Amino acid sequence: MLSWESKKIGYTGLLKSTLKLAKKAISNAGINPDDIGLIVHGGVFREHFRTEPAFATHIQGDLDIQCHGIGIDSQSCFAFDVTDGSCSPHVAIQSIADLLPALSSDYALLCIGDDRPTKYCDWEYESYCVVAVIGLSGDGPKCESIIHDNSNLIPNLTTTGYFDQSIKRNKFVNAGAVEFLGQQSSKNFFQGHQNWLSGKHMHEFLQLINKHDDTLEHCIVDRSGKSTTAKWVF
Amino acid sequence: MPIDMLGSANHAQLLSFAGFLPETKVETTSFASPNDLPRSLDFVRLTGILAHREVSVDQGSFELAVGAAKKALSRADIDARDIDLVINCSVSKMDGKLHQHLSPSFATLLANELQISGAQTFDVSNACAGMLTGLMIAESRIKSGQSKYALVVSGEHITPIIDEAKRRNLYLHPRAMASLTVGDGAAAYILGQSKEPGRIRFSEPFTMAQYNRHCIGQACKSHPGPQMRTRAKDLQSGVINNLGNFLKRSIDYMELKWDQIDHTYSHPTTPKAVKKGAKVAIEVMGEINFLHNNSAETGNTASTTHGVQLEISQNSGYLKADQTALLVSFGSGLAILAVHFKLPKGVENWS
Repeated sequence: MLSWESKKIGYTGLLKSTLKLAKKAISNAGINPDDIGLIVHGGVFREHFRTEPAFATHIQGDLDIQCHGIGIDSQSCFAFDVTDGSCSPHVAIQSIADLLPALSSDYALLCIGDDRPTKYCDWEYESYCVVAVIGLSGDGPKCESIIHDNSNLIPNLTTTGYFDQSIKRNKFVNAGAVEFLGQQSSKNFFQGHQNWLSGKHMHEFLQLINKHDDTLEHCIVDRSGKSTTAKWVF
Repeated sequence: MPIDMLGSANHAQLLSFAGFLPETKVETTSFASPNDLPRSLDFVRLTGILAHREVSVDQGSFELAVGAAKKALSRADIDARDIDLVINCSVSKMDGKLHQHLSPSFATLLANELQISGAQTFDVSNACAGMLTGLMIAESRIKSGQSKYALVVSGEHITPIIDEAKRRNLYLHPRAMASLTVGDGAAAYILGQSKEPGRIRFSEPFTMAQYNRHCIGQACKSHPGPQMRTRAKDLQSGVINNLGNFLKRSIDYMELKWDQIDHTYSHPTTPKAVKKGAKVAIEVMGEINFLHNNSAETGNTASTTHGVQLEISQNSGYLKADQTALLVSFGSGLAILAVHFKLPKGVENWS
Protein backbone atom coordinates (compact mmCIF):
# COMPACT_ATOMS: atom_id res chain seq x y z
CA MET A 1 0.00 0.00 0.00
CA LEU A 2 1.85 3.05 -1.28
CA SER A 3 -0.39 5.79 0.04
CA TRP A 4 -3.77 6.09 1.70
CA GLU A 5 -6.34 8.66 2.75
CA SER A 6 -9.51 8.37 4.79
CA LYS A 7 -12.13 10.65 6.26
CA LYS A 8 -15.53 10.63 7.85
CA ILE A 9 -18.28 11.67 5.48
CA GLY A 10 -21.89 12.73 5.87
CA TYR A 11 -24.93 10.66 5.00
CA THR A 12 -24.20 10.96 1.30
CA GLY A 13 -21.44 12.29 -0.93
CA LEU A 14 -19.30 9.18 -1.12
CA LEU A 15 -18.32 9.79 -4.74
CA LYS A 16 -17.28 13.39 -4.12
CA SER A 17 -15.19 12.40 -1.09
CA THR A 18 -13.66 9.43 -2.91
CA LEU A 19 -12.55 11.66 -5.78
CA LYS A 20 -10.98 14.19 -3.42
CA LEU A 21 -9.12 11.53 -1.44
CA ALA A 22 -8.11 9.64 -4.59
CA LYS A 23 -6.43 12.73 -6.07
CA LYS A 24 -4.50 13.21 -2.83
CA ALA A 25 -3.52 9.54 -2.55
CA ILE A 26 -2.40 9.37 -6.18
CA SER A 27 -0.30 12.49 -5.77
CA ASN A 28 1.24 11.22 -2.51
CA ALA A 29 2.15 7.95 -4.23
CA GLY A 30 4.11 9.99 -6.76
CA ILE A 31 2.20 8.65 -9.75
CA ASN A 32 -0.23 10.07 -12.32
CA PRO A 33 -3.93 9.11 -12.51
CA ASP A 34 -3.29 7.44 -15.87
CA ASP A 35 -0.82 5.06 -14.17
CA ILE A 36 -3.82 3.42 -12.44
CA GLY A 37 -4.89 0.27 -14.30
CA LEU A 38 -7.42 -1.14 -11.86
CA ILE A 39 -10.05 0.39 -9.59
CA VAL A 40 -11.92 -1.77 -7.11
CA HIS A 41 -14.59 -0.41 -4.81
CA GLY A 42 -15.85 -2.30 -1.76
CA GLY A 43 -19.01 -1.50 0.17
CA VAL A 44 -22.65 -2.45 0.65
CA PHE A 45 -24.90 0.60 0.39
CA ARG A 46 -25.25 2.76 -2.71
CA GLU A 47 -27.35 5.81 -3.40
CA HIS A 48 -30.91 4.80 -4.43
CA PHE A 49 -29.88 1.15 -4.08
CA ARG A 50 -28.06 1.41 -7.40
CA THR A 51 -27.13 -1.93 -8.94
CA GLU A 52 -25.38 -0.86 -12.13
CA PRO A 53 -22.94 0.29 -13.33
CA ALA A 54 -20.25 -0.44 -10.75
CA PHE A 55 -19.49 2.50 -8.43
CA ALA A 56 -15.83 2.13 -9.42
CA THR A 57 -16.71 3.15 -13.00
CA HIS A 58 -17.95 6.49 -11.66
CA ILE A 59 -14.66 6.95 -9.81
CA GLN A 60 -12.74 6.14 -12.99
CA GLY A 61 -14.92 8.42 -15.11
CA ASP A 62 -14.75 11.40 -12.76
CA LEU A 63 -10.99 11.03 -12.33
CA ASP A 64 -10.81 10.87 -16.15
CA ILE A 65 -8.63 7.75 -16.12
CA GLN A 66 -8.30 6.23 -19.60
CA CYS A 67 -11.68 7.62 -20.68
CA HIS A 68 -11.05 7.12 -24.37
CA GLY A 69 -11.75 4.59 -27.07
CA ILE A 70 -9.74 1.40 -27.41
CA GLY A 71 -6.75 2.00 -29.66
CA ILE A 72 -4.34 -0.59 -30.95
CA ASP A 73 -1.83 0.30 -28.24
CA SER A 74 -3.80 2.53 -25.86
CA GLN A 75 -3.51 2.08 -22.11
CA SER A 76 -6.49 0.63 -20.29
CA CYS A 77 -8.12 0.75 -16.89
CA PHE A 78 -10.62 -1.73 -15.49
CA ALA A 79 -13.13 -0.93 -12.76
CA PHE A 80 -15.58 -3.02 -10.75
CA ASP A 81 -17.11 -3.44 -7.28
CA VAL A 82 -16.98 -6.23 -4.73
CA THR A 83 -19.18 -6.73 -1.72
CA ASP A 84 -19.25 -9.01 1.29
CA GLY A 85 -20.82 -7.03 4.11
CA SER A 86 -18.26 -5.33 6.32
CA CYS A 87 -15.59 -7.70 5.06
CA SER A 88 -15.68 -5.93 1.68
CA PRO A 89 -12.32 -4.13 2.18
CA HIS A 90 -10.45 -7.41 2.47
CA VAL A 91 -12.25 -8.84 -0.57
CA ALA A 92 -11.31 -5.71 -2.54
CA ILE A 93 -7.65 -5.94 -1.49
CA GLN A 94 -7.52 -9.61 -2.42
CA SER A 95 -9.20 -8.98 -5.78
CA ILE A 96 -6.55 -6.39 -6.55
CA ALA A 97 -3.87 -8.89 -5.52
CA ASP A 98 -5.46 -11.43 -7.86
CA LEU A 99 -5.74 -9.26 -10.94
CA LEU A 100 -3.09 -6.54 -10.85
CA PRO A 101 -0.10 -8.80 -11.65
CA ALA A 102 -1.73 -9.82 -14.95
CA LEU A 103 -2.53 -6.26 -16.05
CA SER A 104 -0.26 -3.89 -17.93
CA SER A 105 -0.28 -1.35 -15.09
CA ASP A 106 1.57 -1.58 -11.78
CA TYR A 107 -0.95 0.41 -9.75
CA ALA A 108 -4.49 -0.01 -8.49
CA LEU A 109 -6.87 2.19 -6.58
CA LEU A 110 -8.65 0.65 -3.61
CA CYS A 111 -11.83 2.54 -2.65
CA ILE A 112 -14.02 1.69 0.33
CA GLY A 113 -17.22 3.29 1.61
CA ASP A 114 -21.00 3.41 1.76
CA ASP A 115 -23.69 5.96 1.01
CA ARG A 116 -26.97 6.19 2.90
CA PRO A 117 -29.24 4.84 0.14
CA THR A 118 -32.16 7.24 0.70
CA LYS A 119 -32.97 9.84 3.34
CA TYR A 120 -35.82 7.60 4.51
CA CYS A 121 -33.37 4.93 5.69
CA ASP A 122 -32.62 4.79 9.40
CA TRP A 123 -28.86 5.30 9.54
CA GLU A 124 -27.08 4.35 12.74
CA TYR A 125 -23.68 4.14 11.09
CA GLU A 126 -20.66 6.41 10.85
CA SER A 127 -19.70 6.52 7.17
CA TYR A 128 -16.04 6.71 6.24
CA CYS A 129 -14.46 6.96 2.84
CA VAL A 130 -11.10 5.26 2.34
CA VAL A 131 -8.84 5.36 -0.70
CA ALA A 132 -5.45 3.71 -1.13
CA VAL A 133 -2.98 3.35 -3.96
CA ILE A 134 -1.72 -0.20 -4.21
CA GLY A 135 1.41 -1.07 -6.15
CA LEU A 136 3.16 -4.22 -7.21
CA SER A 137 6.34 -2.99 -5.55
CA GLY A 138 7.36 -0.35 -3.02
CA ASP A 139 8.13 0.12 0.63
CA GLY A 140 4.62 0.47 2.07
CA PRO A 141 2.73 -1.90 4.33
CA LYS A 142 2.38 -5.28 2.68
CA CYS A 143 -0.72 -7.49 2.92
CA GLU A 144 0.76 -10.94 3.39
CA SER A 145 -2.39 -13.05 3.63
CA ILE A 146 -6.14 -12.86 4.04
CA ILE A 147 -8.03 -15.62 5.83
CA HIS A 148 -11.78 -16.11 5.49
CA ASP A 149 -13.96 -17.74 8.13
CA ASN A 150 -17.66 -18.47 7.54
CA SER A 151 -17.94 -20.95 10.43
CA ASN A 152 -19.80 -18.47 12.66
CA LEU A 153 -22.17 -17.37 9.92
CA ILE A 154 -25.81 -16.95 10.92
CA PRO A 155 -27.47 -16.92 7.49
CA ASN A 156 -30.67 -15.17 8.50
CA LEU A 157 -28.81 -12.04 9.69
CA THR A 158 -29.31 -10.33 6.39
CA THR A 159 -29.71 -6.75 5.20
CA THR A 160 -32.33 -6.18 2.52
CA GLY A 161 -33.59 -3.20 0.55
CA TYR A 162 -37.35 -2.87 0.13
CA PHE A 163 -40.10 -0.44 -0.83
CA ASP A 164 -42.00 0.72 2.24
CA GLN A 165 -45.61 0.89 1.03
CA SER A 166 -46.69 3.02 4.00
CA ILE A 167 -44.47 5.94 3.01
CA LYS A 168 -43.96 4.96 -0.65
CA ARG A 169 -40.17 5.14 -0.32
CA ASN A 170 -37.21 2.77 -0.42
CA LYS A 171 -35.55 1.70 2.82
CA PHE A 172 -33.53 -1.22 4.12
CA VAL A 173 -33.97 -3.58 7.03
CA ASN A 174 -31.48 -5.55 9.11
CA ALA A 175 -33.07 -8.91 9.90
CA GLY A 176 -32.50 -10.62 13.24
CA ALA A 177 -31.00 -9.37 16.47
CA VAL A 178 -27.25 -9.38 17.04
CA GLU A 179 -25.28 -9.05 20.23
CA PHE A 180 -22.39 -7.20 18.65
CA LEU A 181 -18.78 -8.04 19.39
CA GLY A 182 -16.96 -4.96 20.60
CA GLN A 183 -13.64 -3.56 19.50
CA GLN A 184 -10.63 -5.69 20.46
CA SER A 185 -7.02 -4.70 20.32
CA SER A 186 -3.68 -6.13 21.41
CA LYS A 187 -0.07 -5.61 20.33
CA ASN A 188 -0.37 -7.27 16.93
CA PHE A 189 -4.11 -7.64 16.55
CA PHE A 190 -6.98 -5.30 15.84
CA GLN A 191 -10.66 -6.11 15.44
CA GLY A 192 -13.25 -3.36 14.99
CA HIS A 193 -16.77 -3.27 16.36
CA GLN A 194 -19.09 -5.74 14.63
CA ASN A 195 -21.60 -3.03 13.73
CA TRP A 196 -19.14 -0.85 11.83
CA LEU A 197 -19.38 -0.41 8.09
CA SER A 198 -16.46 -1.25 5.79
CA GLY A 199 -15.13 2.31 5.67
CA LYS A 200 -14.87 2.65 9.43
CA HIS A 201 -13.12 -0.73 9.72
CA MET A 202 -10.44 0.38 7.25
CA HIS A 203 -10.20 3.91 8.64
CA GLU A 204 -9.55 2.68 12.18
CA PHE A 205 -7.05 0.13 10.91
CA LEU A 206 -5.17 2.84 9.01
CA GLN A 207 -4.88 4.91 12.20
CA LEU A 208 -2.83 2.05 13.70
CA ILE A 209 -0.39 1.59 10.83
CA ASN A 210 2.15 4.17 11.97
CA LYS A 211 2.25 2.67 15.45
CA HIS A 212 3.53 -0.67 14.17
CA ASP A 213 6.87 -1.69 12.74
CA ASP A 214 6.44 -5.46 12.53
CA THR A 215 3.06 -7.14 11.86
CA LEU A 216 -0.58 -6.41 12.51
CA GLU A 217 -3.52 -8.75 12.04
CA HIS A 218 -6.69 -6.90 11.10
CA CYS A 219 -9.87 -8.86 11.71
CA ILE A 220 -13.30 -7.77 10.46
CA VAL A 221 -16.35 -9.57 11.79
CA ASP A 222 -19.45 -8.90 9.71
CA ARG A 223 -22.91 -8.52 11.23
CA SER A 224 -23.72 -12.00 9.87
CA GLY A 225 -20.88 -13.54 11.91
CA LYS A 226 -18.54 -14.30 9.03
CA SER A 227 -15.09 -12.79 9.29
CA THR A 228 -11.89 -12.05 7.43
CA THR A 229 -8.41 -11.49 8.84
CA ALA A 230 -5.67 -9.73 6.92
CA LYS A 231 -2.08 -10.05 8.03
CA TRP A 232 -0.05 -6.92 7.34
CA VAL A 233 3.72 -6.70 7.46
CA PHE A 234 5.42 -3.34 7.92
CA MET B 1 1.07 -3.46 -1.21
CA PRO B 2 3.41 -4.98 -2.60
CA ILE B 3 1.30 -8.03 -3.14
CA ASP B 4 2.75 -11.28 -1.93
CA MET B 5 -0.28 -13.52 -1.86
CA LEU B 6 0.54 -15.46 -4.99
CA GLY B 7 1.60 -19.06 -4.53
CA SER B 8 2.90 -21.56 -7.02
CA ALA B 9 1.94 -21.38 -10.69
CA ASN B 10 -0.84 -23.74 -11.85
CA HIS B 11 -3.15 -23.78 -14.82
CA ALA B 12 -6.91 -23.49 -14.79
CA GLN B 13 -9.70 -25.06 -16.81
CA LEU B 14 -13.44 -24.91 -17.14
CA LEU B 15 -14.89 -28.13 -15.72
CA SER B 16 -18.54 -27.38 -16.37
CA PHE B 17 -21.11 -24.70 -17.05
CA ALA B 18 -24.87 -24.55 -16.74
CA GLY B 19 -27.64 -22.25 -17.79
CA PHE B 20 -30.93 -22.39 -15.93
CA LEU B 21 -34.16 -20.80 -17.06
CA PRO B 22 -37.48 -20.49 -15.22
CA GLU B 23 -40.35 -22.28 -16.94
CA THR B 24 -42.77 -19.43 -17.61
CA LYS B 25 -42.38 -18.13 -21.15
CA VAL B 26 -43.69 -14.65 -22.00
CA GLU B 27 -44.14 -13.64 -25.63
CA THR B 28 -42.80 -10.17 -26.45
CA THR B 29 -45.98 -9.30 -28.33
CA SER B 30 -47.99 -9.84 -25.13
CA PHE B 31 -46.53 -6.67 -23.59
CA ALA B 32 -44.76 -4.81 -26.40
CA SER B 33 -47.00 -4.98 -29.43
CA PRO B 34 -46.96 -2.03 -31.83
CA ASN B 35 -50.17 -0.77 -30.13
CA ASP B 36 -48.31 -0.53 -26.79
CA LEU B 37 -45.35 1.46 -28.06
CA PRO B 38 -44.67 4.99 -29.33
CA ARG B 39 -44.94 5.46 -33.09
CA SER B 40 -46.38 1.93 -33.34
CA LEU B 41 -42.86 0.58 -33.04
CA ASP B 42 -42.45 -3.04 -34.10
CA PHE B 43 -40.35 -4.12 -31.11
CA VAL B 44 -39.93 -7.72 -32.26
CA ARG B 45 -38.62 -6.63 -35.65
CA LEU B 46 -36.40 -3.98 -34.04
CA THR B 47 -34.77 -6.30 -31.51
CA GLY B 48 -35.30 -9.86 -32.72
CA ILE B 49 -36.56 -10.87 -29.26
CA LEU B 50 -39.62 -13.10 -29.54
CA ALA B 51 -39.98 -14.08 -25.88
CA HIS B 52 -38.29 -14.27 -22.50
CA ARG B 53 -38.61 -16.34 -19.31
CA GLU B 54 -40.00 -15.09 -16.02
CA VAL B 55 -39.73 -16.47 -12.51
CA SER B 56 -42.68 -18.10 -10.78
CA VAL B 57 -44.13 -16.68 -7.55
CA ASP B 58 -41.70 -18.49 -5.24
CA GLN B 59 -38.57 -17.82 -7.32
CA GLY B 60 -36.04 -15.03 -7.30
CA SER B 61 -32.36 -14.50 -8.11
CA PHE B 62 -31.38 -16.87 -5.29
CA GLU B 63 -33.49 -19.85 -6.40
CA LEU B 64 -32.38 -19.42 -10.01
CA ALA B 65 -28.72 -19.29 -8.98
CA VAL B 66 -29.13 -22.41 -6.85
CA GLY B 67 -30.68 -24.22 -9.83
CA ALA B 68 -27.75 -23.32 -12.10
CA ALA B 69 -25.14 -24.12 -9.45
CA LYS B 70 -26.56 -27.58 -8.76
CA LYS B 71 -26.59 -28.39 -12.46
CA ALA B 72 -22.99 -27.20 -12.90
CA LEU B 73 -21.81 -29.15 -9.84
CA SER B 74 -23.43 -32.31 -11.09
CA ARG B 75 -21.90 -31.90 -14.56
CA ALA B 76 -18.42 -31.31 -13.12
CA ASP B 77 -18.92 -34.45 -11.06
CA ILE B 78 -17.43 -32.96 -7.94
CA ASP B 79 -18.71 -32.79 -4.42
CA ALA B 80 -19.98 -29.40 -3.25
CA ARG B 81 -17.64 -29.73 -0.27
CA ASP B 82 -14.62 -29.57 -2.62
CA ILE B 83 -15.49 -26.04 -3.71
CA ASP B 84 -13.22 -23.55 -1.94
CA LEU B 85 -14.27 -20.33 -3.70
CA VAL B 86 -17.76 -19.06 -4.51
CA ILE B 87 -18.20 -15.82 -6.42
CA ASN B 88 -21.66 -14.49 -7.14
CA CYS B 89 -22.06 -11.95 -9.92
CA SER B 90 -25.80 -11.15 -9.97
CA VAL B 91 -26.80 -7.59 -10.76
CA SER B 92 -30.33 -7.97 -9.40
CA LYS B 93 -30.16 -10.07 -6.18
CA MET B 94 -33.92 -9.65 -6.11
CA ASP B 95 -36.35 -12.07 -4.47
CA GLY B 96 -39.93 -12.86 -5.54
CA LYS B 97 -41.24 -10.08 -3.27
CA LEU B 98 -38.98 -7.54 -4.98
CA HIS B 99 -36.66 -7.21 -2.01
CA GLN B 100 -33.05 -6.50 -2.92
CA HIS B 101 -30.47 -8.52 -1.01
CA LEU B 102 -27.58 -6.38 0.27
CA SER B 103 -25.59 -8.22 2.94
CA PRO B 104 -23.81 -10.54 3.63
CA SER B 105 -22.71 -11.48 0.14
CA PHE B 106 -25.19 -13.48 -1.92
CA ALA B 107 -22.35 -15.95 -2.49
CA THR B 108 -22.21 -16.62 1.25
CA LEU B 109 -25.89 -17.55 1.35
CA LEU B 110 -25.62 -19.60 -1.85
CA ALA B 111 -22.69 -21.55 -0.40
CA ASN B 112 -24.67 -22.15 2.77
CA GLU B 113 -27.66 -23.42 0.77
CA LEU B 114 -25.45 -25.68 -1.37
CA GLN B 115 -23.68 -27.02 1.74
CA ILE B 116 -20.36 -25.69 0.55
CA SER B 117 -18.47 -25.19 3.76
CA GLY B 118 -15.10 -23.57 4.27
CA ALA B 119 -15.09 -21.73 0.96
CA GLN B 120 -14.28 -18.10 0.53
CA THR B 121 -17.43 -16.33 -0.64
CA PHE B 122 -18.04 -12.85 -2.03
CA ASP B 123 -19.92 -10.92 -4.70
CA VAL B 124 -18.60 -9.10 -7.74
CA SER B 125 -20.64 -6.31 -9.24
CA ASN B 126 -19.85 -5.25 -12.77
CA ALA B 127 -23.25 -5.16 -14.47
CA CYS B 128 -23.58 -7.60 -17.38
CA ALA B 129 -19.79 -8.07 -17.40
CA GLY B 130 -19.88 -9.32 -13.81
CA MET B 131 -19.74 -13.01 -14.71
CA LEU B 132 -16.60 -12.70 -16.81
CA THR B 133 -15.07 -10.47 -14.14
CA GLY B 134 -15.83 -13.16 -11.56
CA LEU B 135 -14.40 -15.86 -13.82
CA MET B 136 -11.24 -13.82 -14.28
CA ILE B 137 -10.77 -13.55 -10.49
CA ALA B 138 -11.47 -17.27 -10.02
CA GLU B 139 -9.00 -18.25 -12.74
CA SER B 140 -6.36 -16.08 -11.13
CA ARG B 141 -6.93 -17.75 -7.73
CA ILE B 142 -6.61 -21.20 -9.28
CA LYS B 143 -3.48 -20.26 -11.19
CA SER B 144 -1.88 -18.88 -8.05
CA GLY B 145 -2.68 -22.07 -6.14
CA GLN B 146 -5.07 -20.38 -3.71
CA SER B 147 -8.08 -22.30 -4.97
CA LYS B 148 -8.68 -25.81 -6.32
CA TYR B 149 -12.32 -25.61 -7.35
CA ALA B 150 -14.28 -22.40 -7.84
CA LEU B 151 -17.98 -21.86 -8.42
CA VAL B 152 -18.87 -18.65 -10.26
CA VAL B 153 -22.61 -18.18 -10.28
CA SER B 154 -25.36 -15.68 -10.96
CA GLY B 155 -29.15 -15.61 -10.87
CA GLU B 156 -30.96 -12.69 -12.44
CA HIS B 157 -34.54 -11.79 -11.58
CA ILE B 158 -34.70 -8.61 -13.61
CA THR B 159 -38.06 -8.77 -15.38
CA PRO B 160 -39.64 -6.38 -12.83
CA ILE B 161 -37.96 -3.63 -14.88
CA ILE B 162 -40.30 -4.57 -17.73
CA ASP B 163 -43.29 -3.80 -15.49
CA GLU B 164 -41.67 -0.53 -14.41
CA ALA B 165 -41.13 0.48 -18.05
CA LYS B 166 -44.69 -0.48 -18.96
CA ARG B 167 -46.00 1.84 -16.23
CA ARG B 168 -44.23 4.76 -17.91
CA ASN B 169 -45.34 6.70 -20.92
CA LEU B 170 -42.58 5.57 -23.23
CA TYR B 171 -42.96 8.71 -25.36
CA LEU B 172 -41.77 10.66 -22.32
CA HIS B 173 -39.38 8.00 -21.02
CA PRO B 174 -37.67 6.56 -24.12
CA ARG B 175 -34.71 5.50 -21.97
CA ALA B 176 -36.94 2.91 -20.32
CA MET B 177 -37.44 1.15 -23.67
CA ALA B 178 -34.35 -1.08 -23.29
CA SER B 179 -35.95 -2.52 -20.14
CA LEU B 180 -38.34 -4.41 -22.42
CA THR B 181 -35.47 -6.55 -23.75
CA VAL B 182 -34.64 -8.46 -20.57
CA GLY B 183 -35.45 -11.92 -19.24
CA ASP B 184 -34.85 -13.90 -16.05
CA GLY B 185 -32.20 -16.62 -15.98
CA ALA B 186 -29.19 -18.05 -14.21
CA ALA B 187 -25.77 -19.44 -15.01
CA ALA B 188 -22.94 -21.16 -13.21
CA TYR B 189 -19.42 -22.24 -14.05
CA ILE B 190 -17.05 -24.57 -12.21
CA LEU B 191 -13.34 -23.93 -12.65
CA GLY B 192 -10.62 -26.29 -11.54
CA GLN B 193 -6.89 -26.90 -11.87
CA SER B 194 -5.34 -28.22 -15.05
CA LYS B 195 -1.99 -29.59 -16.11
CA GLU B 196 -2.51 -28.18 -19.58
CA PRO B 197 -1.70 -24.49 -20.04
CA GLY B 198 -4.01 -22.23 -22.01
CA ARG B 199 -7.30 -24.10 -21.52
CA ILE B 200 -8.73 -20.79 -20.38
CA ARG B 201 -7.42 -17.34 -21.29
CA PHE B 202 -8.68 -13.82 -20.70
CA SER B 203 -8.34 -10.70 -22.77
CA GLU B 204 -7.14 -7.41 -21.34
CA PRO B 205 -10.17 -6.00 -19.54
CA PHE B 206 -11.30 -2.48 -20.42
CA THR B 207 -13.65 -0.03 -18.78
CA MET B 208 -14.51 2.93 -20.98
CA ALA B 209 -15.86 5.04 -18.17
CA GLN B 210 -16.87 7.88 -20.48
CA TYR B 211 -20.03 5.77 -20.96
CA ASN B 212 -20.64 5.21 -17.23
CA ARG B 213 -23.94 7.09 -17.14
CA HIS B 214 -25.46 5.47 -20.23
CA CYS B 215 -27.21 2.65 -18.36
CA ILE B 216 -28.30 3.08 -14.75
CA GLY B 217 -30.08 0.43 -12.72
CA GLN B 218 -31.45 1.30 -9.29
CA ALA B 219 -34.53 1.06 -7.09
CA CYS B 220 -37.66 2.60 -8.59
CA LYS B 221 -38.54 5.66 -6.50
CA SER B 222 -42.31 5.29 -6.69
CA HIS B 223 -43.03 1.54 -6.78
CA PRO B 224 -41.54 -1.69 -5.43
CA GLY B 225 -38.74 -3.15 -7.56
CA PRO B 226 -35.98 -1.84 -9.79
CA GLN B 227 -35.84 0.45 -12.80
CA MET B 228 -33.33 0.85 -15.59
CA ARG B 229 -32.66 3.84 -17.82
CA THR B 230 -30.51 3.32 -20.88
CA ARG B 231 -29.18 5.51 -23.66
CA ALA B 232 -29.23 2.40 -25.80
CA LYS B 233 -28.18 3.89 -29.12
CA ASP B 234 -25.20 5.76 -27.66
CA LEU B 235 -24.14 2.75 -25.65
CA GLN B 236 -24.33 0.51 -28.70
CA SER B 237 -22.21 3.02 -30.64
CA GLY B 238 -19.65 2.86 -27.84
CA VAL B 239 -19.41 -0.89 -28.32
CA ILE B 240 -19.51 -0.95 -32.11
CA ASN B 241 -16.91 1.83 -32.47
CA ASN B 242 -14.43 0.00 -30.25
CA LEU B 243 -15.18 -3.62 -31.04
CA GLY B 244 -12.73 -3.92 -33.94
CA ASN B 245 -9.70 -2.77 -31.98
CA PHE B 246 -10.82 -4.73 -28.94
CA LEU B 247 -10.97 -7.96 -30.93
CA LYS B 248 -7.66 -7.36 -32.68
CA ARG B 249 -5.93 -6.66 -29.37
CA SER B 250 -7.64 -9.51 -27.56
CA ILE B 251 -6.84 -12.18 -30.12
CA ASP B 252 -3.22 -11.03 -30.11
CA TYR B 253 -3.08 -10.83 -26.32
CA MET B 254 -4.58 -14.29 -25.85
CA GLU B 255 -2.30 -15.67 -28.60
CA LEU B 256 -5.21 -17.08 -30.57
CA LYS B 257 -6.01 -17.54 -34.22
CA TRP B 258 -9.42 -16.12 -35.11
CA ASP B 259 -10.17 -18.79 -37.69
CA GLN B 260 -9.50 -21.53 -35.13
CA ILE B 261 -12.16 -20.40 -32.68
CA ASP B 262 -14.98 -22.93 -32.98
CA HIS B 263 -17.79 -21.10 -31.18
CA THR B 264 -18.30 -17.38 -30.61
CA TYR B 265 -20.76 -15.77 -28.20
CA SER B 266 -21.35 -12.07 -27.77
CA HIS B 267 -23.30 -10.41 -24.98
CA PRO B 268 -26.78 -10.48 -26.50
CA THR B 269 -28.36 -7.13 -25.68
CA THR B 270 -30.61 -8.14 -28.58
CA PRO B 271 -30.16 -10.61 -31.47
CA LYS B 272 -30.19 -7.63 -33.86
CA ALA B 273 -27.36 -5.94 -31.93
CA VAL B 274 -25.32 -9.14 -32.07
CA LYS B 275 -25.71 -9.18 -35.86
CA LYS B 276 -24.42 -5.60 -36.02
CA GLY B 277 -21.43 -6.52 -33.87
CA ALA B 278 -20.77 -9.60 -35.99
CA LYS B 279 -20.61 -7.44 -39.10
CA VAL B 280 -17.82 -5.39 -37.50
CA ALA B 281 -16.03 -8.52 -36.32
CA ILE B 282 -16.14 -10.08 -39.79
CA GLU B 283 -14.86 -6.87 -41.43
CA VAL B 284 -11.92 -6.65 -39.02
CA MET B 285 -11.12 -10.29 -38.22
CA GLY B 286 -12.65 -12.39 -41.00
CA GLU B 287 -15.44 -14.95 -41.05
CA ILE B 288 -16.76 -16.29 -37.73
CA ASN B 289 -16.85 -20.09 -37.63
CA PHE B 290 -20.04 -20.37 -35.57
CA LEU B 291 -21.73 -17.33 -34.06
CA HIS B 292 -24.28 -18.46 -31.48
CA ASN B 293 -26.92 -15.75 -31.57
CA ASN B 294 -29.67 -17.58 -29.72
CA SER B 295 -31.27 -15.13 -27.30
CA ALA B 296 -34.49 -14.71 -29.33
CA GLU B 297 -36.42 -16.85 -26.83
CA THR B 298 -34.65 -15.68 -23.64
CA GLY B 299 -33.96 -11.96 -24.00
CA ASN B 300 -31.03 -10.31 -22.28
CA THR B 301 -30.47 -12.11 -18.99
CA ALA B 302 -27.77 -9.66 -17.82
CA SER B 303 -24.70 -11.29 -16.23
CA THR B 304 -25.98 -14.79 -17.04
CA THR B 305 -26.35 -14.39 -20.81
CA HIS B 306 -23.33 -16.38 -21.92
CA GLY B 307 -24.14 -19.30 -19.62
CA VAL B 308 -27.73 -19.35 -20.85
CA GLN B 309 -26.57 -19.28 -24.48
CA LEU B 310 -23.98 -22.00 -23.90
CA GLU B 311 -26.73 -24.14 -22.35
CA ILE B 312 -28.96 -23.68 -25.42
CA SER B 313 -26.04 -24.62 -27.70
CA GLN B 314 -25.23 -27.66 -25.56
CA ASN B 315 -28.85 -28.79 -25.56
CA SER B 316 -28.86 -28.47 -29.36
CA GLY B 317 -25.81 -30.74 -29.61
CA TYR B 318 -23.48 -28.11 -31.09
CA LEU B 319 -20.71 -28.38 -28.48
CA LYS B 320 -17.98 -31.01 -28.33
CA ALA B 321 -15.20 -31.56 -25.78
CA ASP B 322 -11.99 -29.65 -26.45
CA GLN B 323 -13.58 -27.43 -29.06
CA THR B 324 -12.93 -23.78 -28.30
CA ALA B 325 -15.31 -20.97 -27.39
CA LEU B 326 -14.88 -17.22 -27.20
CA LEU B 327 -17.24 -15.20 -24.99
CA VAL B 328 -17.24 -11.44 -25.45
CA SER B 329 -18.86 -9.45 -22.69
CA PHE B 330 -20.14 -5.89 -22.48
CA GLY B 331 -21.48 -4.35 -19.28
CA SER B 332 -22.79 -0.95 -18.27
CA GLY B 333 -19.91 1.20 -17.28
CA LEU B 334 -18.79 0.42 -20.08
CA ALA B 335 -16.83 -2.76 -19.38
CA ILE B 336 -15.50 -4.92 -22.22
CA LEU B 337 -13.63 -8.17 -21.77
CA ALA B 338 -13.45 -11.63 -23.29
CA VAL B 339 -12.63 -15.17 -22.30
CA HIS B 340 -11.52 -18.06 -24.50
CA PHE B 341 -11.64 -21.64 -23.27
CA LYS B 342 -11.61 -25.24 -24.33
CA LEU B 343 -14.96 -26.88 -23.73
CA PRO B 344 -15.01 -29.34 -20.83
CA LYS B 345 -14.58 -33.08 -21.22
CA GLY B 346 -17.91 -34.83 -21.61
CA VAL B 347 -19.85 -31.70 -22.59
CA GLU B 348 -21.62 -33.55 -25.39
CA ASN B 349 -23.02 -36.09 -22.93
CA TRP B 350 -24.40 -33.73 -20.28
CA SER B 351 -28.08 -33.99 -19.57
